[in-house]
Amino acid sequence: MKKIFLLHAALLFALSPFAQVPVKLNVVYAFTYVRDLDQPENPFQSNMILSIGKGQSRYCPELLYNDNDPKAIAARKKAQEKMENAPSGSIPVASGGPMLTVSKYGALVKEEIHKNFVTKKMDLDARVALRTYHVSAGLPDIIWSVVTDTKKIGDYDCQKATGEFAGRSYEAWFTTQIPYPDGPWKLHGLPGLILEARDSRNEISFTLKEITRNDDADVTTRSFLRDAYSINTQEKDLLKANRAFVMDPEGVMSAQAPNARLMVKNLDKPGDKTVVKIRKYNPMER
Amino acid sequence: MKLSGLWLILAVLFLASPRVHAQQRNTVNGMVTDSSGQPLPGATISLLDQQLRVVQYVFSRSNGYFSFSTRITTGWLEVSFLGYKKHRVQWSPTTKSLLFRLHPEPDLLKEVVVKPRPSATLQGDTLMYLVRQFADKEDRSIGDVLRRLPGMELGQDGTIYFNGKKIDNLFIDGDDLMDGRYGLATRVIRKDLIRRVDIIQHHQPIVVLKDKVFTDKIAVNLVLQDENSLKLSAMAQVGVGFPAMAEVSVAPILLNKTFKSVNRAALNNAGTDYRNDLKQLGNMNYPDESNSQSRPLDLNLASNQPPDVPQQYYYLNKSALLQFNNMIRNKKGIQFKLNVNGYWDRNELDYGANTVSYLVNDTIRYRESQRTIHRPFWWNAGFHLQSNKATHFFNNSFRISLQKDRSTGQMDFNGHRFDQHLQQSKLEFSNDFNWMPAIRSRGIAEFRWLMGYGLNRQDLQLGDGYYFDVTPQQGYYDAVVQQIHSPSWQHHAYLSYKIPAGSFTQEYRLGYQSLPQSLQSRLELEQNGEILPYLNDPGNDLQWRNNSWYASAQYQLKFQKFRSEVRLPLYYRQLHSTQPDYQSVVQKRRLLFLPMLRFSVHFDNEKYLQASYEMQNDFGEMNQSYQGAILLNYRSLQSYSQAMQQQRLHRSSLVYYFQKSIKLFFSNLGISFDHKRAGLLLSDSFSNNIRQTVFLPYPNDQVTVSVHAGLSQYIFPLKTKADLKLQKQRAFQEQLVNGSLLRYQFDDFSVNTGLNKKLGRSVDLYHQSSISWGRMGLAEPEKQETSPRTRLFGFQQQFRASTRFLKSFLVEATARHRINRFTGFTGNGYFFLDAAIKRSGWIKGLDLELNVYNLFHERDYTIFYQSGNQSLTSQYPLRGRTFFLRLSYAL
Repeated sequence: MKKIFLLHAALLFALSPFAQVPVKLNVVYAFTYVRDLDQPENPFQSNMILSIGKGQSRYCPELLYNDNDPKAIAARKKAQEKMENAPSGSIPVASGGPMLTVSKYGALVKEEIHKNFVTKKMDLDARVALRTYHVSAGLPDIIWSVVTDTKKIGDYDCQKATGEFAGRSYEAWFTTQIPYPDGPWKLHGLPGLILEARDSRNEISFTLKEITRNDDADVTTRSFLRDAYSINTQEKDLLKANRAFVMDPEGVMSAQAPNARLMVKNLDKPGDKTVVKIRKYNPMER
Repeated sequence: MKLSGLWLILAVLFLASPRVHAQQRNTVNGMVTDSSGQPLPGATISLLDQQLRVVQYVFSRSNGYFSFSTRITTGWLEVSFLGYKKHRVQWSPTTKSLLFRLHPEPDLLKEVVVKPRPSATLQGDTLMYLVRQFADKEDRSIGDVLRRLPGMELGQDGTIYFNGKKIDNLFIDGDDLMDGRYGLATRVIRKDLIRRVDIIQHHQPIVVLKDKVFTDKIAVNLVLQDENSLKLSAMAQVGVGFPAMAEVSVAPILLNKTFKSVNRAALNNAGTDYRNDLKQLGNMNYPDESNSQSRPLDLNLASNQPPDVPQQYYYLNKSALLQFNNMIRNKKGIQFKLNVNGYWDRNELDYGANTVSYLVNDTIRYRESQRTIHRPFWWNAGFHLQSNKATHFFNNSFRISLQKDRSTGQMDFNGHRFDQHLQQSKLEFSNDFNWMPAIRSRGIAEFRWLMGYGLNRQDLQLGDGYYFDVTPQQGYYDAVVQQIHSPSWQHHAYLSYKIPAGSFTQEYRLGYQSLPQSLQSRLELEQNGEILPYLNDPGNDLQWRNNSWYASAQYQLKFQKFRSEVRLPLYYRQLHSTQPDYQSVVQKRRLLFLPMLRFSVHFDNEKYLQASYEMQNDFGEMNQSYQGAILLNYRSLQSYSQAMQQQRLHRSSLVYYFQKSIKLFFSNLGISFDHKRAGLLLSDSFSNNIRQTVFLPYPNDQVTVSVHAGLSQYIFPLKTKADLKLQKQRAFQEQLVNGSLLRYQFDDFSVNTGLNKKLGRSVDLYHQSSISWGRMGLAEPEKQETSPRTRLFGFQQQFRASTRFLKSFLVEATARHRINRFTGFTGNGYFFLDAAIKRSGWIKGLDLELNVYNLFHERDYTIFYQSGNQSLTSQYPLRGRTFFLRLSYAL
C-alpha cells in the first residue's frame, strides 16, 4: 500500500509542471529597490540569481541560493526529521526562539519565482516571517514594444524594449545572443534574455553582475522554499502579507508565534538587535 | 506525439504558403521542430531589420506552430532556442519554406562565457570569496586561486599573508588537517574541491572560547564544494627533462565532513625542493610563554645561502618525499589526526665567495670556493586527538621528529685545500596535553601540560690541508674535529581560569616551567694518529637548569569600538648552571615582570587601529653561555665569556588597517620600534684565516625602527589586481671589532609592486617588481676612512604573460630581470627567461606541459650580501638551459 502511494506521489511529482530541470545558466543581477519612500537615498539592495534551465527558471536572492548548499540541506533534513519525530502539537523552534533575519535595510523576505514557459505558469514561493506561502498563477502577459536602441552590456549586444507591468513602465535591455525569453523578477517575454531593466520612476533596477554556465546536472531549478508545509494562497494576499511584514517585522513574527521570544539576526551587523521598519512602503506592484 | 513524415510535409505545404490579407500586411505561418521532427514549443521567431535589430517577434506555441503578420518587406527571419543552433533566413514576403528544423548545439553555451564581476562578501568578521569568480581556467590548485584574491599574498615558501598580516593557520572545512604545514594543501588540493575561501578576522579556533575570548588572529578557511563527498580525487604528475631529469608525484585526496586526507608521494631530481612542503607555516597552538625555545646550536660547512633565483636553475638534487595527513572524526565529534612526513635528499651546491671584513685599521678578505654535498633526511610524525565542543576543549598532540644530515665539502680557502665532513642528528619528541572545560558558573578552566625532549649531536671534521690559525696551535693537522652533544628537556604545565563576562574577560594562570639542558663539546686536533686537545680551553661540559614559577593575570576589555588586552605575568626564575672545568657554579634567582599590552580601535568592520607593546626579559640561553670555544665552521670560533647575561627587549608597534571589501580594496600602514638591551657584546677578532668571536659581558643597545605600508586594489574596469608595498627600516647595533667599539647603522628602503591583469578572455599578464636600497656603515662619520659606508641597490622584476589559443593550449613566458649594485664592486644585471606551453583537456583531467627554463642559458650568478661589518660576494654556477616535459592528471 505504502509502495503504491509512493509511486503515485513520484509520478505526480514528475508530471507536475514544476518538475525540476538541470540549470544551464546562472545569471546574477544587482537589484535595487526603493522600498521605503521615506528613505529613497537608502534603497534595498541585494544580489538576485536567475537560474535558467530548459523551459523553466528560478529566480531568488543570492542569500537563499547560497544557503542551499549541501550543508544547509543536511541541517534542514535533520531538523525536519526531528520535527517529524516530535510528539504532535509541538512547535519547531530553534533554541532560544524563532529567528528574525534582518539586514540594514530591514526585514528580509525570502522569495522565489518559478517561471515555466511551456505551461505558461508562474509559481511564487515566499517565506514571510515563519510561514512559507505558495502561489500558483499564470505567467503575466507583458506587452513589450521593441525599439531600435542598442548597447553593449558586458560582451553582449543588447536591444531596448519598453513595457508596462503591474503599474510601472519598464525599460529593458535584452540580448538575442541568449535566446531565452526570461529576465529578472517577473519580467519576461522578449526574444532574448533581459540583462538590465529599470522602471521609469527610477525606484527599481536590475543590472547584470555575472553570467555563469553550469555543467553539473545535479544543480536544478528545484524550489528551495516549497515543502509539505507551504500554505497555498492568492497572489494579492501574499503581497499584503509581505507589506505587513516589512512594515512591522516583529509584530508579524509575534503574531505567528505568540508566546515565543524573538531572536534577531542582523546579517550586516551581528549583535545589533534593532529592526529597521519600513515607514512608507513602496510596493513593486502598484 | 511524433508526426509522421507525410503529415509533416502536408502540414508544411499547407501552412507555408503565405496568404495575403491586405495589400501590405503579410501573415506568416510556420513551424519549428528539432532535428528529429518533434515540435519545439517556446522557440523565438524574430524578424530582424538589415542591421539585425529585432523588429517583431513571436514564440512558437506548444505544438511548435507560430504565426504573425507584418508589414516588413526586407530583412531576416531568425529562429532561436537555447541549446540549438540559430537558424536565420533572408526574409521577403514571398518566402516559401517556413519549416524550421533546429539542430542541437551542445556547445552553444560556449558563447555564454563566465562573465563574473568578482566580489567579496563581508559577513561580520568573515570575508568570503567565491572560488569560481576568481579562478581562471589555467588554475589547477587552490593555491593558484589564492594568489588571485585581492588582499591575499603568497610568500615564496607558501606562507599566506592577508592585508600584510601573516595568517595564523589554514583550515580545511574548519579543521587544521595539516598541523600547520599547509603549504602542501594549497599546492595539491584542486580548485574544484573548494567552493569558497573565507578569511576570518579575530579567529578563535577553540569553540569553548568563541565569543568569549577575543583574538587578533586571521585564519583562512577553505569551504568544501561538497562536504559529503566520498570521491577520492588525485593529482598525479610525471615529468622528464633534459639534461637527465625526472619527476614523479601522486597526491590522493579525500575531503569530507568526517574524513579528510591529503597525502603525497613524490620523487624528483629536477630542482624541486620539498622542504617548502614541510615548513611549519601555521601556528602549532603552543602557549605563548613556552615558545621561547632556545635557538639550536648548529655547526656548518660555511656554505653560502642558496642564490635567490628559481630553484630549477641551480638546485642539483635527488629528493624523495612522503606525506600523510589523515583525519577522522567519529560520531561524538572526536577527531583523530595523524601526520607523517618523510624526506630524503642528496643535493650539491658549488659556489665561490669573497668575504670582506672592514676593520678600523684594516680590511680582511677571505676567498673561498667549495663544492658541497648535503644528504639530509627528515622524518616526523604527529598524532593528535581532539574534541572541540561548546562544553569543553580537549587536545593531546604527540610529536616526534628525527632530522639527520651528512654533508661533505671540498674547500679551497685562501689557497688552502681541504675536505670537510659534517654529521648532524637531531631527535625530538614532545607531548602536549590540553583540557579546557567550561564550568557551569560561567568560567572556563584549563590545564595544560607540555613535555619535550631533544637531543642534538653534531660532528665536524676538517681534513688534511686545513690551516688552524689559533695561537698557540697554529698549523696543519691531519684532522681538526669539533663535536657537540646536547640533550635537553622541556616541561611546562599550567592551570588557568578564564572568566568571560560579556565585554570583560579575565584570565588567571599559575604555571611552572623547567628547562634542564646540557652541552658537551670538544675540539680536538689529530696529528699522526695522535689526538691533541685544544689548549686554550678544555671544551664544554655545561649543565644548565632554568626553572620558573609564574603567575599571570590577563584582561581583555571590549568597550564599544575599543578592545584591549593586557597580560601581566610575574616570573620567579631560578637559574642554575655549572661548568666544572671552569670552576664556575652560577645560581641566580630573579623576579621578572614581562608585561604585554595590546590595544585596538575598531572604527567599523573594515577599519581598525592596533597598538601593541611587549617586553621580554631573559637571562639568556644555554646556547649563549658556553665558555669553551666552539668551532662553528672552519673560520669561526665562538665562545661566551660569562654565563647568564640579562637581555631586555622592548617591542612596540602601531598599525592601521583599512579595507573596503565591496570595492576589493585593502590597505595597511604601520610603524614598529624594537629596542634590545643585551648584556652581551659581540667582540670579533679577525686574523687572516679565522674569525674568533667572544661575547663579552658589556651592555649594549640594538635599536630597529621600521615603517611599512601596503595597498591592494582590484581595478574593475581594467580587471586588474594591483599591489604596492613600501618599507623603510633603520637599525643600530654595537659591536667590538679587534678591540675597538663600533656602532653600526643600517638603512633599508624597499618598494614592491604587483600587477595582475587580464586582457580580453585569454591573455593574462602579471608583473611584479621590487626595488631596494640599502646603506650600511658606522654611525659616527669620522671613522669612515677605513670602514666605508657601503651602499646596495637591488632591482628585480618579473613579468609573466600567458595566452590561451585553440581552446586548450596555453603559452606562458616568464621573464626575470635583476640588477645588483654594490659599493666597491661593479654591478651586474641578469635576464632570465622561462617559457612553457601547456595543453589541457586533451583527455579529461589530463594536462601536458613543456617547460623551458633559463632559455638564455645563463651559467653564472653573482650576488652581494651584507651583514654587520662584513660584505659578501657569492658566485654560483647555474644549470643553464633545461627542458622539462610534464604530464599531470587530475582525477
